Amino acid sequence: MGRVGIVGIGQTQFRSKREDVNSVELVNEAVRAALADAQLTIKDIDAIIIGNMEHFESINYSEMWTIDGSGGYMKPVMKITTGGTTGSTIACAGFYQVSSGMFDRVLVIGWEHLSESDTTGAIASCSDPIWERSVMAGAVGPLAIVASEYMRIHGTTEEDAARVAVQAHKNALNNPYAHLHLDITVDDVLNSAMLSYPMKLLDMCPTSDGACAMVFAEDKSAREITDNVAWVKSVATRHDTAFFGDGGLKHGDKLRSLYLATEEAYTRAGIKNPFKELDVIEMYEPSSWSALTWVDSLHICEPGEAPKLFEEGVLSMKGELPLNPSGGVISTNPIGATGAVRVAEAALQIRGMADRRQVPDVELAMATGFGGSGWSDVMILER
Amino acid sequence: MVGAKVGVTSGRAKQEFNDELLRITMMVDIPYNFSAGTFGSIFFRELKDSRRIMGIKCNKCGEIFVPPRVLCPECLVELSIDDCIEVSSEGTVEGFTVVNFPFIDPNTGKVRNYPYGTGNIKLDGVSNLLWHFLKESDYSKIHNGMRVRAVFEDKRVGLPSDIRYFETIEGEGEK
Repeated sequence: MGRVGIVGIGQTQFRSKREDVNSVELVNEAVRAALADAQLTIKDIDAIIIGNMEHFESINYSEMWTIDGSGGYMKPVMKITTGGTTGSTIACAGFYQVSSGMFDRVLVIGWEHLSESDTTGAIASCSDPIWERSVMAGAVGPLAIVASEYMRIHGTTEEDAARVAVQAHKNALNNPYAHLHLDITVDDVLNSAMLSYPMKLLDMCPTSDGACAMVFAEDKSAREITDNVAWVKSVATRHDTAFFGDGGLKHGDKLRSLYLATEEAYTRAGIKNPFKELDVIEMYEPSSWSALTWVDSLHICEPGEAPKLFEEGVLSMKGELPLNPSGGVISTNPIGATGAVRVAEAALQIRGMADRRQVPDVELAMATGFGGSGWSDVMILER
Repeated sequence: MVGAKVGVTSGRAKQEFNDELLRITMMVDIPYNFSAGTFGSIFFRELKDSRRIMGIKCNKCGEIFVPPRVLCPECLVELSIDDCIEVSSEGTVEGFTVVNFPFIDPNTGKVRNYPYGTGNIKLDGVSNLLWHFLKESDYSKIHNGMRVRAVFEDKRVGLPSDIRYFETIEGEGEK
């Protein structure tokens, strides 16, 4: 199997309401940007993968009616819908398709127009309709429950979580695409509205409109397109059991799927000490509290050490291992695109194209995705 | 926004046109009928008729799960209705929150009542957690490790809501 690389990246402006475009136009905005970055036209694309949590907008067959936006007319088109991981799964699938040898250049697109419906209600409909829907309060409720578990196990404080949100929003100030640009303090987070104890408004990600597209290409084709390729080093995915109530089973304090997926991705990539070897991480953290649990799951610290890493600035832009220079999900969350943005931002870091949010000399970057009852995608990129 | 003038983009400043962008509002009311399945039907019948909470005991690893299901989530052994057993209606809160914001309930299409307490409850003897409502909705009065018991509705219809909520067992302390 030859190498596969990312040669084109396009993001739209992410906003709470993109009323200036319908979904077809939104998709097209990202597609045009990715093709322009790769200096390709849609004629050069062999296959298209489009990702969207379509029932969030109470729609169906979105791969059909967005075809004018995606450029999929008379091409192989596949849609992917895996919850929060949708965007990271399209990246994995782009890698799989090119790796298979079937296609040289695959365009992957993740998008969401969340302002078109009630996002929390829509996410609640993801849970089993009979068993868990009546208690499920979108993403906020279950993530708050996990936060309460983490607090109890590690004695973590609300201030520890607030510090994470402040760092994310501070980083987002350097990212022109980010939805939220908030210059806030720990007190601002602590004083924000209590959504679902212990989760406060500023601990939680927003709901955003936007799209992200990338071009994956096989080795020779990629090198013909550009000499600045973000090469895929390894990918791994782990899914969890169906019920959220099962999630507590032998999980302890970690996100088990992320713990196992990163372990596999490191092994495949030959990474022995991820803390030392990785230069930057774009992690899918739907809330400040989740960031603490998820960081504990990356094999970069001992269980319960995440709050200390944030407090000591280890994961800040000037720290040893910067986390989410983009501002992460806490600043921008167009669900079907969110995971794709993690991969795209990691790829921009590898390619040295991240402007004011660039970490110096990035050789190895990791992106993660989170979705569903607690499953994870991991993609490691290298220069 | 309905009623705004429909314009044409060509030759006009984008800013000017932005004032005329439309949003089309739709309200939908779609009926659904979900199958409870073999194991779900056992669970809801026992709950409705006998106020019993049913789980399933894996015939290989011996772990007990609620609700009963066709496959052991740990060892992936196929389970049968003979593996269904009654479990305790008392347990311990392992994780909780109090939902304190409005959103549309996908079961009804209406805003769900809030605030409400909800938690992961480890029923005594059961290996996994049951996610359900807590009677208490003041988060300062809930803590992980708290002992709770199920309170059943007098009129039960065969839904998870037949367990009205879990209430605090006073004086039992932590477990």
